[in-house]
Amino acid sequence: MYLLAFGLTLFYLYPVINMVFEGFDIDLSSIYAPGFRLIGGVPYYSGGVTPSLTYWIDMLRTQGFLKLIFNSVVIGALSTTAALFLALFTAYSMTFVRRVRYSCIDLLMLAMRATPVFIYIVPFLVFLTQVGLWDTQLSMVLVYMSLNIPLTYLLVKSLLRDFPRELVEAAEIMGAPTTMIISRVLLPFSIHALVIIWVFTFVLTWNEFLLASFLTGPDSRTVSVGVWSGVGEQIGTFRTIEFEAQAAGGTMAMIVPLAIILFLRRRLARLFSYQLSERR
Amino acid sequence: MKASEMVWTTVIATSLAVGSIFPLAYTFYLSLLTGSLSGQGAIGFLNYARMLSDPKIYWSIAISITYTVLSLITSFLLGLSSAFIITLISRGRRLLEAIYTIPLSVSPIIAGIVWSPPAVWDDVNSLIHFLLGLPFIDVTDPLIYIPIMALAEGWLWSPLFMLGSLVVIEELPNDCHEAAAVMGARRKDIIRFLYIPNVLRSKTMKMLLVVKTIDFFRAFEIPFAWSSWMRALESGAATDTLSLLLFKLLMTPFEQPISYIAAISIALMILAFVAAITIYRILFRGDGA
Repeated sequence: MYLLAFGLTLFYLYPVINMVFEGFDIDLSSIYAPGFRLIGGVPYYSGGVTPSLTYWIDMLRTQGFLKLIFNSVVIGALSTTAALFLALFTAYSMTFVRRVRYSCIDLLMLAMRATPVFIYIVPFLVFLTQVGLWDTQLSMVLVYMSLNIPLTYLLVKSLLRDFPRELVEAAEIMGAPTTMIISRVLLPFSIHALVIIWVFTFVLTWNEFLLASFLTGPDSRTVSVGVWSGVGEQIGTFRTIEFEAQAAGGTMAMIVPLAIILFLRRRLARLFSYQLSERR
Repeated sequence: MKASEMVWTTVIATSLAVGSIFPLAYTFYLSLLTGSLSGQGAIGFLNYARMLSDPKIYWSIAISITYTVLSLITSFLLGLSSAFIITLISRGRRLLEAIYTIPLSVSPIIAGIVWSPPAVWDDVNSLIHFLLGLPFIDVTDPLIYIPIMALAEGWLWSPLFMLGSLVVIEELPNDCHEAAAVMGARRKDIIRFLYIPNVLRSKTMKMLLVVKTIDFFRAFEIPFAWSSWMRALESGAATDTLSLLLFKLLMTPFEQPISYIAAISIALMILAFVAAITIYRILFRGDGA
C-alpha cells in the first residue's frame, strides 16, 4: 500500500517539481542523459544543473509578471464578487419567490455552463472594441462576471434548496424586506458556503486562459496568458516565451491558488454534494 | 412577498437571463449571415448545412469524444485510487491528501506546459532510454500523445474526484465500519462492498461526472499546448478538439468566414448541453431529477 502511495506521490508531485526546477534552470534529465540527443525525432539539449534566477528575473522585469498578478487579482476578485452577488439575489428569487422546481432559468444557466467559451469571444470582442473597452480591467470584470454567473447561480441555488424555508417565511410574515431577509437570515447561515463558492469561482477565473488571450492586451493581461506568451507575444502566432521562463511564470502563477486550495480542499469537494449548509 | 419586491426580484432574474443570453443570441445571429462581422446578408441555416459536409468537423467531434472519454476514465480511476489509498494507510494521511491535491491549483495551460515533450516527457524518455536501456516513447505519435493529453487532464482533475470520494467515505455511518469489522471483512472487501458502491451512488460523484464531462468535451488548453509543441498548427490535426479547431479557424484569416465559426460554436454548445442533460438524467435517475 505504501509503495502505491509513493508511486502516486511521484505521479502528482514530479511535474510540479520539474516545473519549479526548470524555472531555476535546473534540468533534471541532464543527470542521467547530459548533452544533445534526439527523442522521437525531436532534438533536445540538456543544459545541465546550472541554478540561476535569470528566468524569474526575466518574468518579473521584462515580462512584468507582478502587473499580471495584480490584474488577475483585481479582475478575479471583482468579477467573482459581482457574479456571486447577482447569483445570490436571483437564486433567492427563484427559490423562495417563484416556487417552480425546475424553472427555465435553471435550464438556461445549465446551458450557459455548457457553452464553449468561443460563444463569448466574438460578441464581446466586437462589442468591447466598438465601445473602446478592449484591453481594460473593467471589460474583463464584466466578461468574467457574465461567464461566472451560471456556475455561481447553480451552486447558490443548490445551497438554498436545502435552506430551511420556515426561516424565510417567518421573516416575510414579520414584514422584513428582501434585502433584510438576505442579509439577516440567509447570509449568517450560509456565509461559509458562500465564501467557498467565491474561492472556487475566483480560482477558476484566475486560471482562465482562452477568453483572456483574446480580450486582453498589454494593459490588462492576466497571469495565465502571461505564462504562455509573456506580455509582448500574441497567442495566435503560437509563439511562446522560453520554456524555462514559462516554468518560472507557472511557478509564480500557482502560488496563490495553491495556498487557497490546500487550505480549503475538503470544503471544495462539498460544493458538488449539495451539503454546504449542513457543514460549517 | 410584496408585489413591488416580486417585480424587483423578477427584474433581476430577467436582466440576468438577458445578460447571459446576449453572447449566445449574438453568436446565433452571426451564424445566420453570409460572412463578415458587418453582415453581408442573411443566409438562414446554410452555415449549419455546410457543417454537415465538412470532414474537419466530424474529425474534431471524434477527437473531442475520444478525449472526453479517456480524460473522464483517467480522472475518475486516479481519483478513486488515491482516495482509497489515503483511507487505507494508517500514517501520513493529511500529508498525502495535501500532495495529491496540488495539481488542482495548476492552471490547465500550465498543465499543458509541464506535461509537454520538453518537460516531464523529456525526463521520462531520458530515464527509460539512457538509464534503463529501453526504447524512447515517441510522443510525436498521435496514438501516444492523445492518451498523454488525457493523462495530463487526469493529473489535473483527479484530485477533485479524490476529494469527492473522501467526503463520501468520511460520511459513511460508523455502523457500516463496525459491521464490516464484526463480519471480519478484509481491506479489499471493504473497498469493494462498502466504499465503491457508496461513492458511485453519491450525488457528489454524479455531479462531478456531469460537470467534468462538459469541461472535457470543450477542452482547449492542454490540446492547445500540445498542438503548439507538435507544430500541428493547421486545422484538422490530431490534437484538434472542437474548441481548438474553432481557435485555429478564428486565428487563420480568410480560412473560414466568422459566421461559419459562429455556427460551429452553436453546434458545440448544443452537443455539450445535450450530453450534459443526458448524463445528468441517467446518473440522477431515481433521485428525483
